[in-house]
Amino acid sequence: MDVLEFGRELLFLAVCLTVVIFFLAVIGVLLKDRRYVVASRTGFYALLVLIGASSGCLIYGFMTGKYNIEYIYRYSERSLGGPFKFAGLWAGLDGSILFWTLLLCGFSAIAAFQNRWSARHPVGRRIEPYLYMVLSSVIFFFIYMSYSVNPFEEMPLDERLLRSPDGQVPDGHGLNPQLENYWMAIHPPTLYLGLVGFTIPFAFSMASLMAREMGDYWIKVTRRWTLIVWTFLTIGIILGGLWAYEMLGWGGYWAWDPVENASILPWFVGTAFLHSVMVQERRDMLKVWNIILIIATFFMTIVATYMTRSGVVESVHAFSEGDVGNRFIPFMIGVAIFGSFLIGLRMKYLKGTHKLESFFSREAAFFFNNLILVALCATVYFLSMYGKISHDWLMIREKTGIPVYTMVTTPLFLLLLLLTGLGPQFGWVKTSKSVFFRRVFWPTILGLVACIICLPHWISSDYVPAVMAPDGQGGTRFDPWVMVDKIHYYSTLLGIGFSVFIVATVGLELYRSVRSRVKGRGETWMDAPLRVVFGNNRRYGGYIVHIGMALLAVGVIWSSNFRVKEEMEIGFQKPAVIPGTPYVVEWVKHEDIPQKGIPYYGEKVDFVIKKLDHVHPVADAQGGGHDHSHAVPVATLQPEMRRYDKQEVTISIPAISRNFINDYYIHYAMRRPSQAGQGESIAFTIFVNPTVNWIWAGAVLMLLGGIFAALPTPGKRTGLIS
Amino acid sequence: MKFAVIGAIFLGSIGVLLWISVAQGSIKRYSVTEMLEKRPSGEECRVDNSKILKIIKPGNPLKFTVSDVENESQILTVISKRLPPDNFKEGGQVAMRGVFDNSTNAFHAVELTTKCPTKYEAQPGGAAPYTPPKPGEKTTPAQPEGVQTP
Repeated sequence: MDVLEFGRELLFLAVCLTVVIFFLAVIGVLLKDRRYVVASRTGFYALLVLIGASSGCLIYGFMTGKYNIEYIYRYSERSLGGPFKFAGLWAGLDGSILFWTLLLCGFSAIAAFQNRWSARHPVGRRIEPYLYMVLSSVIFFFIYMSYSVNPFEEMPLDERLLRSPDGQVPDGHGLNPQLENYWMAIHPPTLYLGLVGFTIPFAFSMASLMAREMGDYWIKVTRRWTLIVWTFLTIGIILGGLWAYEMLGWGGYWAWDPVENASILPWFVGTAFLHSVMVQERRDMLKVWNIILIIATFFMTIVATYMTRSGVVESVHAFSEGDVGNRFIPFMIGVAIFGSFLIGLRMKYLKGTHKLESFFSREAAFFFNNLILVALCATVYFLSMYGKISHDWLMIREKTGIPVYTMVTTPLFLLLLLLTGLGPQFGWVKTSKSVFFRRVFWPTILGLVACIICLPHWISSDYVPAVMAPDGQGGTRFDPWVMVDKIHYYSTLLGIGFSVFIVATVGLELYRSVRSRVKGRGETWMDAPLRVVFGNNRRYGGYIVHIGMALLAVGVIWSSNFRVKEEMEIGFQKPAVIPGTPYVVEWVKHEDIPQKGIPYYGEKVDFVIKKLDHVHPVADAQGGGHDHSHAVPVATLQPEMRRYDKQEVTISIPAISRNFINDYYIHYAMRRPSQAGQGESIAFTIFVNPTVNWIWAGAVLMLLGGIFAALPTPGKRTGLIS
Repeated sequence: MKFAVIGAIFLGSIGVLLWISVAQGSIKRYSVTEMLEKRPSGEECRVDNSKILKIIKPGNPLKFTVSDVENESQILTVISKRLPPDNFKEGGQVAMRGVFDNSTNAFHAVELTTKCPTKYEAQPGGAAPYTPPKPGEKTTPAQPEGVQTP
């Protein structure tokens, strides 16, 4: 039997095994016999081996060039580098579902392994068989999907003859060149780890409902899971933005495209869940809400998969247009009905012991944080689907774009930023107003100072006239609606102020804790901060995430509102000013890329960006008679144009020169005879993007904070349950 | 109870903001056939799912013709002062935002977006409007406006 045929047979075996696992767990419950439950647990290890081996067969096919397999033919070729051949596993629809299944089996096996210990707890023992029923049902669906889309399918003979008339195995079509980027090799697995991982908290919550164990056991068991998968999801989303920024040449990282939105929907709900579980742990409240949130998070991961695989939304991305995505619909309906039914059935067990008492409490802050995040999820989902909704229900064909998303989400994000800073300043149950205002006094002052520092830059931009609208007679008049329409202009100062406020609140809290240890316990100023932070890693991990978010927010706000973009065409060694900036760009060199050992040919163009001592308001293309000899070089850029004959694709690889203040970014469009008839000219788009690197730095902090918060606290039990 | 009221007011405000934003910010979408039937002169709109039939002039301004992907009988001329995006090629798909001008009988696009290649579908395509010349080759002069390439 061929290795790849074997891979498919393994999938069939895995489908059968999930059925066995499910029924073993059911029998374990009915007969109250632990041996069946333990056998069911062992089944997950076997399942991981089977799916791992099946995926290994597909990877083997990629690495050894089995181009008679349709999937491998479509996403690989002989000249492709080893890491990208490996990445073929998740490069296409069929393989990506198998990869999803592999990760799901991996997570389930870890959860089953952990249950060796948690099953010593009476609640853990009661939940365990139900957990296996839920997990095996979800895995069954995904293995069935893998089996039915079949990444191991052999190319029909007539098709093979068409591609290789001599009857030999043809070379592969190859991966799309724009996907041959290291971020694209890392981004999907990271994102998938985040999306798939939410299955485990979902399964625990459902199992708790089924077993009538509605305490916070399931939350304690899955807290670390949730934190880790949330961190992966966050990083996966940001890596997608980084790939778009480096490869796609439009100078941005987020365009509110449905494929991007699909990944952020579960993030919104998952973030809400991460916060609200703290309320249940500390105050035994919001039990129903937490269950709804975790079901919604899992549901949104499936919605994300459905949106990107069904062609239901129109996007600049070429989605799959087959019926594969539609097979997710019954599964989604099943999850929604099963979840709602269980909640209804167990409602009497879900009553909390406390209620929200005061607006000046941490519970209230979490309540509003949850409202905002859920509203963001609902809003982004509605806008993503608006094209279909307007067409199917309103009988009109309309589309929303970035301005609509900006207008709706900006106030929500601002409120979220404010709450991120305010939330930790409240105590549980009730905080006295005097204590609260004392805590926020200095952070507020620092936030205001930051706004005042930024004010001159804001005023010098063209944002202030955004309160005026044309009066139809050549003049302008005051129009408050313009302020709503241009809300992001006004968000700039608020966003910067709130971000500084967040950092200041964390800094101040750290200072207070350190000072109290120094005074109370006699520790040194060097020792105390480390003891404070490492002794309370869950809280300070969260704060590091908050600081990362503040940094990211500043990066997004500043780069969105103060970005300079210009389409230009210049002659050789004829520097031209980038209008509205103190920068000059000059084309200094051009060279062909010899096609040696690479699957493309192309050209490189060298640009130098120089800085003037003043801002030029208008362009002076083709030299314009200005003297730029005193300008100081600040960056050298070398964008490329590549042509891949096999795929018949031409792509332009932008060049980026980064520093912590500005990114200089050039996307080369074409070289052609000059309009003036003298020599050649180069057409390109240049961007001066401020503070983009703050976004990536913020993401790194969020990653570190998430990992730090998930680490076991020194001196405390590291087991799943206490 | 007070939290429920505040929450309801908050969500209601979001609903109103969403309604205003969609009412103000959404723009009509047309297929090429619909665009040529209705000729909504002067109205900002989008043309989606169109296929580039022929690139008449590769730049400054860019001029090309499009049809619906499924139906090539209706042909719309498009003029744009924007630089062509990546993957802009004959046979490729493009979405456009702009205004139809009855006097020139053409769609004036201010935004051009080609299909971005995702990992899910590779799109085979035709020739690109601009391909880097092979080493040693020289660039060819731009076609004057209105002259169709063979």
